[in-house]
Amino acid sequence: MNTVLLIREKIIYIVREYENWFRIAGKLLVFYLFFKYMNGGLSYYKMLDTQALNTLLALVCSIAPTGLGVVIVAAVILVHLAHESVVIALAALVVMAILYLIFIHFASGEGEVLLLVLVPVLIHYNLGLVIPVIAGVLFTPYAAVPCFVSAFMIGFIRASMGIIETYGSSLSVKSMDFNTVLEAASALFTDASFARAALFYGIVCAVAIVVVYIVSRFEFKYSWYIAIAAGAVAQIVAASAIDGRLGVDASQYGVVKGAILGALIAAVAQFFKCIVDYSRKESLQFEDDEYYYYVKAIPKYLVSGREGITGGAEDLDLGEDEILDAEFETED
Amino acid sequence: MLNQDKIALMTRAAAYEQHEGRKDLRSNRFFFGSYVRWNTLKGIVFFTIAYVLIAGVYLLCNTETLFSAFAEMDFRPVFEPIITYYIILVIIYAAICVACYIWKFFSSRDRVRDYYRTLKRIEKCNREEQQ
Repeated sequence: MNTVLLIREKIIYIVREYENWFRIAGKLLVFYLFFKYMNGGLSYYKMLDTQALNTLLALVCSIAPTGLGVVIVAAVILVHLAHESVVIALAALVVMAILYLIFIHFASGEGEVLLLVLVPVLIHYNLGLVIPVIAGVLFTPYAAVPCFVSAFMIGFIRASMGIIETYGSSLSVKSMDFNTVLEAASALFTDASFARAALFYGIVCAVAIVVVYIVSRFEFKYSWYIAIAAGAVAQIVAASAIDGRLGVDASQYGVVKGAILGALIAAVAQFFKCIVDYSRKESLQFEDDEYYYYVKAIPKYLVSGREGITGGAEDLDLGEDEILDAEFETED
Repeated sequence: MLNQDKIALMTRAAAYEQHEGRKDLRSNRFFFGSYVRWNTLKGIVFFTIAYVLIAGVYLLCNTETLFSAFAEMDFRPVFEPIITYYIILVIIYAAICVACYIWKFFSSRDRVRDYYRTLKRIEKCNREEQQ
């Protein structure tokens, strides 16, 4: 066990040392996969579907704040749709605006916003159901909302592609006919199948996340790991209970695979949680009457002291004597 | 002579100010009631805009009903369900907003309370240094 803890300590040390690079690399990977999938799938505007542009867009999004990254993603989707049909692009814009106004403006954490991009990528690789338990460990119950919104948008875009295929050039600006536009818009907005699929995904996510959140709050030993197991079971039960009612054909194998894989990753994430939770390295500058302080603060980490701790803000609760390890330089 | 305890406390306070503190200190300028009311009102405005868009889409998908309402100059069958649903949904949405912002306010107040405690400790360190 000690060897495992030492390996964990080493990994935590490396991640802390290069924390910003790890964060940028993670975002780069997620955005790159998203643009590759989205530009490859939509591919109406051929110029956007190139390796170089995908990489460039991903690079910009990985450096920019996540909120701005999501705006760029939305713009790329709209450009693709507008190239084929302005009406469909307008419809997509309206749907995005509705989802933002009702749901997304509540979001506070960067991770929750990043879920909007991560979920479509995982759904594309049939790993969408890995998310719920992991989100339960890393985020608040609100995380179910971006999961639902993402699944809804993916369904909507697929439905839009179907409409563009069906109506073809009659939706382009040059040959636009009012009746055809109305018919296409009606067909798009009354197609409830994608909304049902999104609702299925949203409910499964909400159930798993809430179960993980509630069980993890109980004060017994290993409550987080029990919460992860309970969340995985709740996810399977919820998926089996509602797929028939919503008319969604969810494969049982996929649901179980997602729950187990999600639980395993969540358990590993929980094991390393201090990395993402509260061990951020800080470089700060402040002053008092006598000095300017330039401080690099690195939270203390002790293997023996961590064994029974399941994570929480109390770990940063500074005592009178022993607080943060701080390397400091001063200047008069 | 540098006081390491004080530096650690100041580091903690500065770290908080640079991250969560920005939002927390802004929201804690409000009284509890004003904060919840203001944000709920903002939520209701957002919801109303979204609902107008949804209603527009609904009417677009039911143009025949709209045209017949125009022809008969009887808009009640078209707008009555829209307004009824709006009232029901806006009440539910406002309740969700209230619950959400109450939770946000209290969790940020706890963090601000910790922050002020740290400031008090810094002040105590300063007094001890002066003596």
